[in-house]
Amino acid sequence: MKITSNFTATRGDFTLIIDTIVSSGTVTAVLGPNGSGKSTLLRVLAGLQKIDSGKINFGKRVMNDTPSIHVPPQDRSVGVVFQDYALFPHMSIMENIAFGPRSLGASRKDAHAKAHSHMDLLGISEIADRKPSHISGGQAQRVALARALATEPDVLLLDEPLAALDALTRESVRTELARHIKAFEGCVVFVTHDPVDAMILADRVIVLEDGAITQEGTPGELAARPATDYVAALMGVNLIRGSAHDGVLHVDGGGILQIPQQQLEGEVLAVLRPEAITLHVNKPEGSARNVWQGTVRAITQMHDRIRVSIEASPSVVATITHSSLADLKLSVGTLVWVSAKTLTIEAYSK
Amino acid sequence: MLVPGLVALIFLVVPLIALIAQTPWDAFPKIISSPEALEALRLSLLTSLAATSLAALFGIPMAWLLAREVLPFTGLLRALVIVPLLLPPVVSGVALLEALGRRGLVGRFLYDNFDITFPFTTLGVVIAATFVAMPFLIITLEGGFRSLHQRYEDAAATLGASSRRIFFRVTLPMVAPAAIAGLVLCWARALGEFGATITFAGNFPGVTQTMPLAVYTALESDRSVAIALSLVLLVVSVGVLVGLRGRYLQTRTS
Repeated sequence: MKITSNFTATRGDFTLIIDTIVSSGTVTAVLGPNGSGKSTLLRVLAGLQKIDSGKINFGKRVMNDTPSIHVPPQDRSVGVVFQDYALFPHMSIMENIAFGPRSLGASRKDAHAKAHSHMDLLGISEIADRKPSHISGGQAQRVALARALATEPDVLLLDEPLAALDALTRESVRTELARHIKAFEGCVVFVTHDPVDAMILADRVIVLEDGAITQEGTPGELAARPATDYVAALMGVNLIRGSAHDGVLHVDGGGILQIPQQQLEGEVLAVLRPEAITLHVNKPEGSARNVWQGTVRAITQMHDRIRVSIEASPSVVATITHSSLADLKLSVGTLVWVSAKTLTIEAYSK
Repeated sequence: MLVPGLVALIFLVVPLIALIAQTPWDAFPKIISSPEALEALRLSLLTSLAATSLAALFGIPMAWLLAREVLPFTGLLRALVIVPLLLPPVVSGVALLEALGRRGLVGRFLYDNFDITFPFTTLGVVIAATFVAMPFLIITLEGGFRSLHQRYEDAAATLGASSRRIFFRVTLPMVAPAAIAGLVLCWARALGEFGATITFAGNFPGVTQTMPLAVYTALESDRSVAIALSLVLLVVSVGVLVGLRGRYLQTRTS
């Protein structure tokens, strides 16, 4: 089954414009900053929000077709894991999971049997009789997933499934979530603002910025060839814009870089990884053909490395070791030479 | 702060103490078991419970409509719903007469076509009590519905529940504390209703003479009867307070 969606939807004074296809058997991440419309997209697919124009199909079934068709959430066969899970606090874990099958007409006995099998699958049988207020965040996530899966939906939608968890629980729950959603046979779409979630869980990533899709591709494609500054920042790389001619990149805003892609012509983007950049106090002699001077604007600690932001043409971020920092005696305002080997630059058409 | 605060406390408590102190304990059993008193008590319980039921039947949906802002001009509608809460009860009674009296706006139609009359009937007592008490239920419950995040209803919808099932299995149980508090406030207000009742329904023993009306009537003939009946109402009020204490009306310290 494929979800084909081509629509616009508004929320407040914000417009979401979507045109994409999601296939079953793949896990799609919708990655975007806060306020980019990710949750609105999920609500639209779930039928919780109406669209202003366009069409959405789940396989052959028409879900939305403006102006007249809007299939309500009840009839869409979607399972949704809400951001804060939205478990019903007055019901036990078992009742929460059995609620869906019961709503769809299963007898009490069948619904309970289904709930128990899903609890077994997710390893939460021992908390069946507890109330949601008496379970941990990791358990709540599994309950929410079990509840969404218990109706055997065609489409599984997850809204920031890991955002409510603390860093420690997150790692283990993410691994487990990956296992369950990869085993799911229908379409899986999840929303996240965390690139790590997208990289680990998704086969395919849709980047959403200001209500519009700015890039689509596999996690590898996004990392290698980010299309926007937002994606580049998430991937931790420098994105340089300019025009290419005969193996030379004329950077927008000044500066020239030698690039290995000799045949590339016209408007291009180039990725320069921060760890491929070397900094020098004096103008370096050597094999690096790209050498330019700039001013240090910020120095920040990042795990075991130091990030140095340099204002230059082009401006870049470099990561260096603590010992390099000591040797270079860098501080904000210091003039510094930047070098990058040609082969470390990857330029590509927009 | 201390002195004026204590003045308020004394001011509020002394009349209640006086009522208890003045109760003719010797005659008390005889007074409250008299046919007139029992009739008034029966009528009061009947009409206040009927009014609460009507308020629940129509007020709970109205509270939900206001909370979810389903209808246009929600602000205006809420103001309209609150008006009877602020209106002097006697004015409510006059308004009801003009609406549902035999020559009233709607009442004339009902009387002419269906021979239905409200004034001076037990049904009129129920109508008057519902009119003044329902806003308590609506306002309390609207707050409950509002503080309930929409995502629970959304979750239930994606799980395939009909809107009816969502309301009865998710929404209403989740606002149960507000619903119970609203129903109790509504019932207490209906039980104590006087002004609108005497204006709209009159004061006929056995038909429209509820406890408050019986107290008022007794004051003119036998003061000790009035005191004894008042004490019964006081006990009911305190009973409601005790029943809710620690559950819905406690100070929020968390």
